[in-house]
Amino acid sequence: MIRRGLTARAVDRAFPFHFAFDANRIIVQVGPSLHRVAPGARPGVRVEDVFSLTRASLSFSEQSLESAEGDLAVLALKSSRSLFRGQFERLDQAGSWIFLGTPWFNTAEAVEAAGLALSDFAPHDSISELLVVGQTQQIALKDLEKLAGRLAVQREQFRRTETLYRAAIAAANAVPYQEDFASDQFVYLNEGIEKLTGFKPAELRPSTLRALAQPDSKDVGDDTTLRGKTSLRNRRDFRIRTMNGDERWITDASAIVEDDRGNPIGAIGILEDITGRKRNEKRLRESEEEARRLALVVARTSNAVVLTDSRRRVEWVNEAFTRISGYELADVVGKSPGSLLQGPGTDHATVTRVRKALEAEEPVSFEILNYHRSGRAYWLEVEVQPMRDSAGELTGFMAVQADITARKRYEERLARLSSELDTILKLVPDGVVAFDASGSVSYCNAAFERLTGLTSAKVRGLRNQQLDDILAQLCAADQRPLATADLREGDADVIRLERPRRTIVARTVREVRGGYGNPDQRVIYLRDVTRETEIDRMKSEFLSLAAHELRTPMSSVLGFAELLISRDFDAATQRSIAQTIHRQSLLLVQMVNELLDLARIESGRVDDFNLQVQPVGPIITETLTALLIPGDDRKVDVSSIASTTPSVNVDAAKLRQAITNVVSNAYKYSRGKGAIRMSLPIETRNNRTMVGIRVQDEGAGMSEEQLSRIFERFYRADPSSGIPGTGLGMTLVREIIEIMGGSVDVASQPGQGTVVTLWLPTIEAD
Amino acid sequence: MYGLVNRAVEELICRDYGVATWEQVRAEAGLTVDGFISNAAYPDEVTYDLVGAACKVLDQSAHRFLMGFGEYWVTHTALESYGPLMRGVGHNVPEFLTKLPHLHSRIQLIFPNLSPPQFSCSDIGANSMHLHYGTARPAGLEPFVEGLVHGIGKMFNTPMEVELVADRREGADHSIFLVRWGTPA
Repeated sequence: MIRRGLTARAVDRAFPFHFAFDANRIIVQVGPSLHRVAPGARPGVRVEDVFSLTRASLSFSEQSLESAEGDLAVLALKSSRSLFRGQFERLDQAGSWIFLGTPWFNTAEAVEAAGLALSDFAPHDSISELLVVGQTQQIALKDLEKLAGRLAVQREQFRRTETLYRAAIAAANAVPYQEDFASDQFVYLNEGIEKLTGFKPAELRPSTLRALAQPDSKDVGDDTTLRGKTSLRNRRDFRIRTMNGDERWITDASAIVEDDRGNPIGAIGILEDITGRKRNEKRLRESEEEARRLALVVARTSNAVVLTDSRRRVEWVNEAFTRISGYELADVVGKSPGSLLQGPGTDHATVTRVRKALEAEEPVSFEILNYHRSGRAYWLEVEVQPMRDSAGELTGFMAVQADITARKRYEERLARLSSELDTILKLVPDGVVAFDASGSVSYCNAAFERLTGLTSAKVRGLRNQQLDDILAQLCAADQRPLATADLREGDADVIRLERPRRTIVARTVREVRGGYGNPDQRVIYLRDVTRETEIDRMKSEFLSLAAHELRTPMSSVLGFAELLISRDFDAATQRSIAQTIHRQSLLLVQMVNELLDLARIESGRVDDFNLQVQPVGPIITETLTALLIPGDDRKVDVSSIASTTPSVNVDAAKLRQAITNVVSNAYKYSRGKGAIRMSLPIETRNNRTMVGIRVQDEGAGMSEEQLSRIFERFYRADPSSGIPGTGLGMTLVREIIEIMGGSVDVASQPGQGTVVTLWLPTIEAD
Repeated sequence: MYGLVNRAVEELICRDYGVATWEQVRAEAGLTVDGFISNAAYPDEVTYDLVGAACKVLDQSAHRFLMGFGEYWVTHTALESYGPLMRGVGHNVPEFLTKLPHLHSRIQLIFPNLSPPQFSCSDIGANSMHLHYGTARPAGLEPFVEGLVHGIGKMFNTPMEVELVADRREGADHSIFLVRWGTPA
């Protein structure tokens, strides 16, 4: 048998913290590491002074140690209360005991704090492993705490997320649910279902919920049924009738729940009230349809339509734009319309006005001359409207352009025609008044103003009745004209104006017919017929006078001729009768000649005048030389006439005829008494130098009344005087002189004589 | 490997690159757990996947990452978790390296599923020795061991040089490092 005794070295290595004490309980031996933790435990020291036993029933007495031999013994170091665990064993030497044990540590830190290292412990001592296990447990606990902390964070995140989801579901009117196919029960159905359907969750099964769907809405969705086993995800919209009878649109988005073998066992999903969305979709569809129709109209309209961005760069044009301008959409996109379309004839003022309006984001309408791609000019009527978004921000402009080139041409033609017509109406001697469709004066011409003394400004806008009243004020009190309104197409009447001068006016009405043939305007035509009326009167009077004047000599001729035929007279008597017949015949011939001359002159046959520039003196001399007044030997006194006389542009024969008439009258009406003088005064009349052929007698003279009628045809101042005459002489004189650009002055005093002056414009001799 | 290793990878990446990068690495590695229990055993693949993902996310070579991780393992993980025990292994670099097998023997008693590496020392001189490294795991952890030795140097404030003189990846039956150390600061 192997002896079990250990060497002291083996004991030190196996029990580095041991100590032994003798029967006196004096420490006699210590292990090599004991002093590190129990410096007081050294040989020679009583064991009770260093250690105490933790079990109160034990002591270091022989008897007590014997009872505890081989059992666990725990000592406490008195100086630090450090514990040692081990066992007491009896040594061979009587009363001596050895404690085989090690200090007890719970943590590695405590070992270190005690100034120990693991190398201080025996290799078989499991203290180090125990400490590692303890430390590992501590680390594991920390790991668990860390994981628990993470779980807490995740739980908090989950709680927040759940709160958010719940809020989102509530805000979205969403109702989550989970259903079980086998039992036709909702595993979960959010209480929001009551708000959606009027039913409480407990009142609904999946089948009863679906039964609420209206038949005509059941096929709306991606799949036909919620239980569709062909798809794991379904979404369908359906319209339900709620408990209180309302209709509501619901969308059901669900996923199929499968068991471990892939068999569908239920569904989980969300029901959502989409009534508002459906309503909006319907409005949107209608709005889109409306927009589509409008777009179609815009695209097909005959007017050009241009859409630009807010910087006035073209974004879109329609077909009409291309047709009018020649530019395709691709040609103009991104460009300013003006840069392409304007040209040399475009009005800069209009362009500036439009630009300012658009910069102010205001609508603007204008007419502008643009240019086709080919260079041809055309007129546009343009209306531009700014476009804004719902926030009122400018998004662009829309321009609608109408090609008004044809209208512009018509307007120009109309303006030209109006100008021509206006000129014509201004030039015509007859008054014209136009009434518009409402019966108000829209126009009157200058001749009307002259006739009536009324101004256009005063007349324009007057109604029929008002113009009638004004015209009536211009007439004599008993001469009120007919009402204009009563006159019809072709009616004519005569208005006798007293003011501003006595005028006879013929009034005619013409109706102007509009585009549909209805008379909508009237024109009153006023012609001054004073002269014609006077001529008519004079003609009648002349015919009466002529017949009367011709009948007198004719009666003499006829009477004396019948005497010669019916009776026998002596030669002397016969001769006297024949002379009378001859004289009367000469008078008749003279009368007829003068009438013919007068008629020819009055008919404007100026061509008969052979005008030539010549001195007036020789004509006078020739006239006086040829003049033979029977029974009167007076000579015309021409002493005041210089040898050199002014030149005049006259028909010498006609002038001689006029002078002869005047000089003959001077002879006839002075009855052989008094001097007859002829002179050539010079005067300036109307800035023209005139020479007067003045004949002055000292005869009977004339009264004012006689003088005023001296130029009337057949008028004779004193028909009873026996002085032969036709009454046409002075009329003829005035006609001749006026045709040659002159005039006739007559001055006379009864009993004093008469002065007749024939004024003629002088011509500067070359 | 035990969760302590994986947790050390996590702590290293969180410390040097932030939690967001760790989450990237986690996602890249396909890791489904939220954390590691230090004394629970995990398949080695978890660790390999983490290291591979970290290299990819951090754009680092495996050699560089493993060296850094080895040093971190000693200076932070081991010292913070078992500081007194670590310091109890030895009082200086050569003593610590020579007693590494004892440490692993003890740890293996506590963690019966642990497959600790085998270390032994030879040619021990005043300032150098050969450190022999063997493992049942696939070759490739040599940079980790190199980092460990550097970490031990830091633990004792001792400058270190480590040279791989025999490499299992190049056909040697085990890897050998020539370790030189200087005077502790």
